[in-house]
Parts: sequence; structure tokens; C-alpha cells
Amino acid sequence: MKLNRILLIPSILLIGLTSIASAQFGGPVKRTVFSQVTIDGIVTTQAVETSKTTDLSTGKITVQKKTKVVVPNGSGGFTKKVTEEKTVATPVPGETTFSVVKSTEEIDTPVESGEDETPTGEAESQGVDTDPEEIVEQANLDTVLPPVIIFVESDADLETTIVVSPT
Amino acid sequence: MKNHSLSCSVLGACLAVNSAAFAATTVVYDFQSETRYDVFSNAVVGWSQNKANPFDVDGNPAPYAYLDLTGFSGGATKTGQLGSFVANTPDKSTVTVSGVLDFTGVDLAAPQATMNLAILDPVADDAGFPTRDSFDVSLANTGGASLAGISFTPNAGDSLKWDLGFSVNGASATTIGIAVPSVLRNSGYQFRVDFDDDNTRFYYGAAVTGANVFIGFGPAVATGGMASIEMTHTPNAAAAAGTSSNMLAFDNIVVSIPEPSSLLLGLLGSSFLLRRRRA
Repeated sequence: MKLNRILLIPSILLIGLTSIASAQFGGPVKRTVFSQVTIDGIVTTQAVETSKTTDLSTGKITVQKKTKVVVPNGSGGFTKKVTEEKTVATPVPGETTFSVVKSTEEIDTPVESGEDETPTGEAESQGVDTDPEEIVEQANLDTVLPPVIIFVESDADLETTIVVSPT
Repeated sequence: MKNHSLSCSVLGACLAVNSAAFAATTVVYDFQSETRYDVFSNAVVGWSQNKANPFDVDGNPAPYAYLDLTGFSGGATKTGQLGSFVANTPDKSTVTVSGVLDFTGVDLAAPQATMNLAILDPVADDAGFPTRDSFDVSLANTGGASLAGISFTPNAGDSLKWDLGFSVNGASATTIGIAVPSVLRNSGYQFRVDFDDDNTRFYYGAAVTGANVFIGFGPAVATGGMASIEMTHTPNAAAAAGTSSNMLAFDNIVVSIPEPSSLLLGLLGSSFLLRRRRA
């Protein structure tokens, strides 16, 4: 029993360290676009991230768009609402069309405040809405797939510039 | 990392050796003691940020300013980076990071500041992030007022260039030779600001060759209260939030103050040499 307690303490410490580490910035691998939106008359910050993957073996394209807002819950607290839109375009065999299915899920998490977003409860899905399948010509895919924000890292080595002396 | 002269910083040591006659008191920020991706809001010693970083969708911090690798003159090293690579201010407000210039007990006579600066603007993102931002670098006094400033404004006709502006005490300084000097994106530069009793002078040049081109000047300024160096990112107010992706890279910031006695000795030595040359 004593041994278990001894083992438990480092485990708790380790969990603490892991959670701190996961909150650190790990480099500019993705880009989040922040903007101000008005929801129910309240101006709040909206964060949007998008990603696109293509399965080279099947040609299936998946675009994910995540949108986050933190809004007052009406009883003194705040709710973080994350909406995940997933659009999957699957090639129809033998044709130049894609079968496009879009699904949307909203996940709500109670948080402490609008600024630090510390969770005060469990994340809860509000259900998944799936739109009817749509058949789209390949040439028109851009009209149904959300635009994707792609982070492009700058080359670390700067160019050597020749500065011409003023005359 | 902040070092005073005669400390362990290689750059500071070189400077101290090169200007041994002046025995300058020097503050150096070369960021080599920090870790890549340290953020300026709380992890870079001597620096602070005026605005809290936002959180991304997954709840991780999305910093406005952090350390990353930039190769100013051969070989990439950790440099400060401020701007909109990772996050933009939702209300298009400015973000400023400030480095302390602590010269407590030192007579701030005739200081000199050099620094490496570059505008990072990935060529491949032109389509996705069509707008461009402005940046300012300022040596400020204890009240936050700018003593000398360098500004970078997107050139209206050339998307590869940022126009340079210089200011002293908040008023525009006179540029020399070129009406509107500019810098190229993704190119490394060194800038220098010299203060003395007569005027304030600005120099710039390629990072590899040093700030050897006299580019602007303004009146003398009271440097007694110089207390910080400030880097500011200003988003394009006319564009939608988040439509730019530019960073200001900054490194090898060296602000040195010749000690009065040494300065006097230096002046005496110079006058002796001049007299000898005339004889």
C-alpha cells in the first residue's frame, strides 16, 4: 500500500508536467485566423483553422474546418463552442464526378472565462448533422470545398542583399 | 538573453574588445540562451509583450511573437520574430514586444544601437495572404516615448519591398540621397543608430557587411531616459483580419554606452592624433 502511494506521487507530478508541456507553443505549423464576430449582440473572437488531405490511393479529398468562439452562457460563465465541418469528396468510379458529403458537429465546453478558456466541465457534443450527398463535377469541386488556409514557413536563410549607397 | 558588456555573450565580448578604448557598457540581446519557440509574452528574459496571445481551436497558445531560426549572415540562429505567421489580432490592433535596456547608474551619453532586422514574407503565400503589414522599431525612454525609430511600410507599387522611414523624438528624420529607401523581403539587414550632442544618425546595410551606409539624420535627442527597445507589428487597417502573413525578424541587438571618462579619454586621444597629424 505504501509502495502504491509512492508510485502515485510521481505519476501525479508527471501528469502535471505533461499538461504544461502540451500547452506550449511547438512551432508555426498551422495558421489560425482570428476575427471579431457578433453573436447575440456580443462581440467575441472567432478562431478558424482549416486543413486538407488527399488520399493518393483512392483520390478521396477531406477538408476540415474548425471554428471556435467563446460566448457567455447566460449564468455568469462562458461556453467554448467548437464547430467542426468535415467535407469529404469521393471520386465516383468511371466518372468525372465526386460524391460530396458534408457533416457538421458542434462541441461545447464550459470554460472559466472568455480569455483563458480554462475548462470547468466536460466537452459535450451537440450532435452531428449530415447534409444529403451531392454529386459534383471535378471542375466545380472548389465551389463546394471550403477554402483552405495553408501555413507556408519562410526559408530560415535570408537572402544576402546588396545595399546601394545613396548618392 | 540580455548581457551586459564583459559578460559571456560572444557578440558582447567582441564588441567590448573592438571598442576597448571606450569600455562601453553594453546590453546585448542575441537570444542564444533561449529555446527555439520560446514566446515573448513570458519566456524570453528581459522582454515583455503588451497583448496576451490568443488560443487556437485546440486550446494551444498561438503566439504573436516567438523565437525561431533566421540566417542573417550565414547559418540560421535563434532570432526574435513578431507578426502574423501564427496568429493575427482579431481587432487588427497592434502588438508590441519590449526589451529592457537597463543602464542603471550609467550616464547615457552618446549611445549607439545596432541590430539585425528583416521582413519575412514567404513568397508562396502571396495568393493566400495578399495583404501586407507594417512594422516599427523604436528606442524608447522610461515613459514609452520614442527617441529614435525605424519604420517599415509596404511599398505601394512593389510587393517585394517595404519602405523605410526614420524618426527622432517622434518627428520624421531626413533621409540622405534616396527619397524613399526600402528593404527587400526575406533579406537580412543591419541597422545602426548613433546619438551624440549634435544629431541622431541612422545607418543601414546588408547583414553580412554591416550598417555602413549613412541613410538619415535628425536632431540631437536627450537619451538620459532611454529604457527599452520596442518592436511593433501594425496590421493593415483597410484589410480583413488575418489576411496577411508577415514577420519582423530581429537579432543581435547591441546598445552600448561609452562611459563618460572613457569617452573623454577617447576625445583627448582623437584631438592628440589630429594635432600630431597637423604638425
